[in-house]
Amino acid sequence: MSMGLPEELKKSISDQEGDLLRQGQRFKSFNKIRQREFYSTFLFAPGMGGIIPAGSYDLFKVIKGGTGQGYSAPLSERETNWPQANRVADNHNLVMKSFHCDIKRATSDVTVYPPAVLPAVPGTAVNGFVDLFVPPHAADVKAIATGMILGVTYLTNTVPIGYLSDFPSVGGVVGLNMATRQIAAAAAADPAESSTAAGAGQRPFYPITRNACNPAFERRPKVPTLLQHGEVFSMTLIVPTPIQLLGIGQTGANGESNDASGCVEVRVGMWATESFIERA
Amino acid sequence: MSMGSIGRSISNQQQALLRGQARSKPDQIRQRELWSSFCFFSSTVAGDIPQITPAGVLLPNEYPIFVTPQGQNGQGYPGGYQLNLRDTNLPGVNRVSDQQNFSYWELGVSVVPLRQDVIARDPTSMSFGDPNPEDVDQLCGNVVLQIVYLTNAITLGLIGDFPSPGGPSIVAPTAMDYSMGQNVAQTSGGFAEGAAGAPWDGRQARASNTGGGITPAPALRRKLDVPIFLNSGDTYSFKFLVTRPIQLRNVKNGGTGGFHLRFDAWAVESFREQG
Repeated sequence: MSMGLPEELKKSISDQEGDLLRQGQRFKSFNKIRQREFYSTFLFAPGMGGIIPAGSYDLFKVIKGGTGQGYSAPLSERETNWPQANRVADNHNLVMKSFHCDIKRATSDVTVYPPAVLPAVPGTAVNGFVDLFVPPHAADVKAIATGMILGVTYLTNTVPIGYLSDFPSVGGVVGLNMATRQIAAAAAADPAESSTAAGAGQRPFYPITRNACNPAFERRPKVPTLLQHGEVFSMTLIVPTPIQLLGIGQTGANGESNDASGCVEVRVGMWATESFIERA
Repeated sequence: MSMGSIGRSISNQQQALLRGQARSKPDQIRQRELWSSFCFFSSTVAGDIPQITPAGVLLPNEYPIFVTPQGQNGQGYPGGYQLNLRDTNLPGVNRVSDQQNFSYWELGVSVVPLRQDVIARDPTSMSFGDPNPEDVDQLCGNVVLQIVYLTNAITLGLIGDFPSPGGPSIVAPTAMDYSMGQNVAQTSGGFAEGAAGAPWDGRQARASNTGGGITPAPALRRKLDVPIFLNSGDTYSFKFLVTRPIQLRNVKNGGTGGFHLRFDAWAVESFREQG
């Protein structure tokens, strides 16, 4: 007994083969549409007082499960949801409606950091180490927002499109938490966050600084960036001049021991309309 | 007994129902918020399975919402606690009810203070008050929002990408306790934030967060050009995905030891109300 496919299906498959071989694409049309954020993150963790060297740092080149972009462990959905490394997947097309550059507190997960920057006692305030108990200092956020340039990389060229500060990310908390990173009163002990780990009951409050705005105020180009399926694409963080992160004793004459974090993540994303074909 | 045209109508409805067709088309339309929240808590009560450790670390896991109806336990709550209208208003569980259709035009996530009855379970591990802004910042930058369909889950972004409207912005802009003392003994004075022998306590002025994200203005939040269409009967839910541990403040350090993550969608709803 023959179990052949119905003629209609045979023709459809044949047509797809023809399209694939003649035109390089199987699908006549993309039949679904939705909107969502696509993002990719780079971890900078030189330690307190450390330097982010001049150079280019690529994003959208490592996908979930791969290791890179500054991380010593495989990336997770938290770091990126980009489906294909360095290109647009074959079964979707994107219209980028806006760009976002978030300069955010680095992850609490110690497995992603190089061992050399992890202190034996978490929260130890020593230059060269990271302190994961504190958010990035406003000075670090500012230095990166105005010291890094976002480039869009196509097949053979990278186009610089602006400072990170030109593309604030959406949402998040911003502004003062308590007044500031206070210097302790003369008669009181320094509320040493870094030498008193979480749980000790002495953690001062910190202001939250982000490169953030409301969704309605995000940068929305009148000429959107169009990305067709299969196109080579990535983004690049360009650092023309080294950026020094805050270290202990660098915040002024009365520098606090708990000011600096020595690490920060830069997450670049885009709000996109996506047409796609989902395979069963 | 013959009911004439009414009998035919009932017969037609029955046939349509049994053949898998809608009995009648939706005839009403309205707009409203639909929401569902997940309870994150810390606890030392025996038998509890908290998501937050005593040191304030939110553990990696998948935290689903729109999967538990009002009146039942789930979505993070300790055993014995039931969801109520504060937690969800979606009538279907893990699906759209048969007599509704939705189009979602706005999405948002907010960080909501814990329910009083949950805090009362273990007041040493949880406290009243708005979640600490540092914790809100951590959540915004670490928790992934996914929509879940029949066989796949799509990442929409981090929850910080979907600021939610409402809630206070800043309630106390200074570090000072208004009695000019920063601790119980009032020894530190000035701007000290809790000296070694007299740590932080609840008397210090605190700032509040902005719900789930920046400025609490509905007009300014994320709106979709392409709405999410959900047909009657469609299987769907959302989930909060935490892939890496997140360090939060515990109660000792001025945190609240827990919070609710509330997802909301501003939706257009067509429906058919049964009489």
